[in-house]
Amino acid sequence: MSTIEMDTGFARGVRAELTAIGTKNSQLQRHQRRARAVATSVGAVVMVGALTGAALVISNLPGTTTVVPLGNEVTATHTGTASIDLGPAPANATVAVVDLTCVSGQGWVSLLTVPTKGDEGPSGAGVDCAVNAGRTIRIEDSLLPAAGTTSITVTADAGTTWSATAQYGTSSTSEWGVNANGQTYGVPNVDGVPDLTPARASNGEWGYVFSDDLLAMDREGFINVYRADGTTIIGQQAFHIVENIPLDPRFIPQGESGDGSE
Amino acid sequence: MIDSSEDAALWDRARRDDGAAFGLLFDLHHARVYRRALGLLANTHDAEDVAAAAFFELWRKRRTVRPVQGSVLPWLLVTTVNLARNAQRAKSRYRHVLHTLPRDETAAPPSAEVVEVKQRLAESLQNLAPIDGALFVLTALEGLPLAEAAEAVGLKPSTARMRLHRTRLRLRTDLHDLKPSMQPAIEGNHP
Repeated sequence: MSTIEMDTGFARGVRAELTAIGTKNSQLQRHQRRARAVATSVGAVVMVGALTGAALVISNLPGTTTVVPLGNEVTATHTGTASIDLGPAPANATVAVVDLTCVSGQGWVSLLTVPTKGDEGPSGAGVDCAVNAGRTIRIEDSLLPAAGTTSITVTADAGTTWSATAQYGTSSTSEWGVNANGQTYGVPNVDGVPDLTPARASNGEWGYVFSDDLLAMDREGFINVYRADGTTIIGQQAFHIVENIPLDPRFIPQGESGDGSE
Repeated sequence: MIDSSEDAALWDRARRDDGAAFGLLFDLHHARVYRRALGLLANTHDAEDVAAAAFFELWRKRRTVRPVQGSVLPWLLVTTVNLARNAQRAKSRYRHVLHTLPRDETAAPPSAEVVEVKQRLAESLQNLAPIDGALFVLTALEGLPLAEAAEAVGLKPSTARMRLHRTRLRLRTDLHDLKPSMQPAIEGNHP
């Protein structure tokens, strides 16, 4: 006869993880943020690669963040967690810009990024080397070195080799648009998520989807793509769930949805 | 069986990222969820992982979870059954978290007979459509009323009854040599 009670130590561990939800100690939320950051980065890479014509349109969208690099680049290659010394920060530096490349074919590499307004503590961005070996991902919103220091830390699994090119940068974000109904539209940025976020309909036209519609999707289907007015429907976007990437409105839709965006 | 008023109040707090409420929902339901996982998986550690993953999924899918009669228990049980169908995938999603949890390394192995029954049942369930497997587990194994089980999997009770009937015939054929005793589904709701 085998036991039918969950092992008390294990149960206590699961319970502790659940009660940590909503606090800084939540591994679940931390992991979700990391997965989200990767999906966003991959989406950005796909956009630049496949939509050179649309890139101009995208860069003019309200809420776009522009980063101007400052000072010298520092290049380093390490295995596991390590620091990169950027030297003293220029007065107008607001972020560090890091090009991160997986040398290994497995493990996670990540670093801390500037938090979205309203979030407790910094967020994170990173790359899963198992699916991104050899690929370079640019992270334009890395946290500056902590006060009194000149280094940023790249966290990596033991045995995972990565290389990075990093420099300081100064970042500015344009205002979201507001339509006649008072709904904000534009690109998710450090201020959070607007009511309407950019998306391309399956007929190829660019428009916006309601962030709340995106949030409600948890299975395959279609969501309406609107003009910035939030009332004129210009098409629909097919939607599928990417395995292991939790659903969140802060995704740039290109990172998560199929059909025509890649 | 389901104290839906307490459950509904907790769920209302939990889905807004209230960790304490998730902890209390775990206290209420983890024994049922673990037993269900253990009923489908031969290995205690796999059952623990699947039960933990079901609660983590409750958090991850908090915006789309549909409580039944105010309770998240049916959703948890359906999710447990679905996760048990592919325990490896369930574990890989939460491997970062599961690795950090304490383990009892001294768990006794279950008897060979128990293992065989579980494997046969799990295999049979695997050959069913997920919705039919979930309906069977909720009604025949968990004793949930048919109307609540139907609501949990998103079917009309009449459709659910028909599908359940087919499932039971099929399982009886699959498992005939094990002489399964299946209790009939309870019609209607609990008072």
